[in-house]
Amino acid sequence: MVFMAEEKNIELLRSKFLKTLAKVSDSLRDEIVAVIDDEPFNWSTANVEVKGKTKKGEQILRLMDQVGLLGD
Amino acid sequence: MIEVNEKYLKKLVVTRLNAVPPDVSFSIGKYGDFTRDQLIEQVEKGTDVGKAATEMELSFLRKLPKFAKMVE
Amino acid sequence: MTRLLITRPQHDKGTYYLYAWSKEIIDSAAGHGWTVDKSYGPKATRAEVQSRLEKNPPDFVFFNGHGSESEMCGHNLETILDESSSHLLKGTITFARACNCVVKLGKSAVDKGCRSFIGYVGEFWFPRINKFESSPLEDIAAKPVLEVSNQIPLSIIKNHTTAEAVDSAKALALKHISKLILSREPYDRAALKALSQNDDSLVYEGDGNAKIG
Repeated sequence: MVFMAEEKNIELLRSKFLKTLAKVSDSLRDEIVAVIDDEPFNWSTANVEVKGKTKKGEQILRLMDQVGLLGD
Repeated sequence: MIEVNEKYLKKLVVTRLNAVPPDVSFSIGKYGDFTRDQLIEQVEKGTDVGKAATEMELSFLRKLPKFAKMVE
Repeated sequence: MTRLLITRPQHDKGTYYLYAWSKEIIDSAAGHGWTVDKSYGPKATRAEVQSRLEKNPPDFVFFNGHGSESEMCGHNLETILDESSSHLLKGTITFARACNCVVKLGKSAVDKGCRSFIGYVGEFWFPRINKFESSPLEDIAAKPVLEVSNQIPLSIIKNHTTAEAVDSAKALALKHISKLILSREPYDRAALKALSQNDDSLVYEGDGNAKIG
């Protein structure tokens, strides 16, 4: 049940990410939005991970959500 | 799991500031004048100006999805 | 005769930029037939500024420099005005190009008869490109930010109301922002950040319909 809730949460974050990304002008998508193990991710590279449903993608989503970057 | 805490926020802001050209300085009100590298140092030390710079970076990040709508 | 009092300290790189960029305001005021009282460089002191406010009350006051919620600073960060002396702004329209001044100083001034006080509720900041240190007017990173803040005194001198002056600055900020968000130039990105931050914190206290004349 906890696993399902967490997975649902990630899906929700993924949809918030995509919705927010759509609002970010193309030229501003090089802005760094997350850092994992000293590796920076901007909107574009974060999108690759998020769309690929990778572990890094999940981490990025949680970090961005906690920093308040994923909008309403 | 990576947590968003003061340490992470500093890392995010420092990573972002490292992407600013090295010949850019910032005049930040009453705090004075800082080169890019001096500002990075302030962020890492958690000084008042470092905290102000952190808040400015995070505000800008949160505003990214709103710019397109502003100029509609 | 309409009178402008302008403070222009230049004791550090930031204030030197404001000093350079505020010349346009002096030229505009003079061009409109105003008398311009300048407290610049080492003369931007508390004694000098307060004496001018008392003896030759201006219609418009334009402070440049560093500030905080409750004070405006001049040369070498000396406090030239604070809440205890804010009554000296009675009858004026004032613009403080400095951090945070509206929060307490501005409110105090308006409570004591300042017609309107324009300024920032947060940090006022701008980026600089180091090679333009001695030629601030050519600095492409600082230019959009300082042009926008210049718009306020320029509007007041052209007989616009306080509200119109602030709206005019915000409209110019938006015009710059719409170009800067399309740019991938790193210097433009630095300008965009500062413009956005300053625009968010630009406000006024007092009468929005206040104007000179």
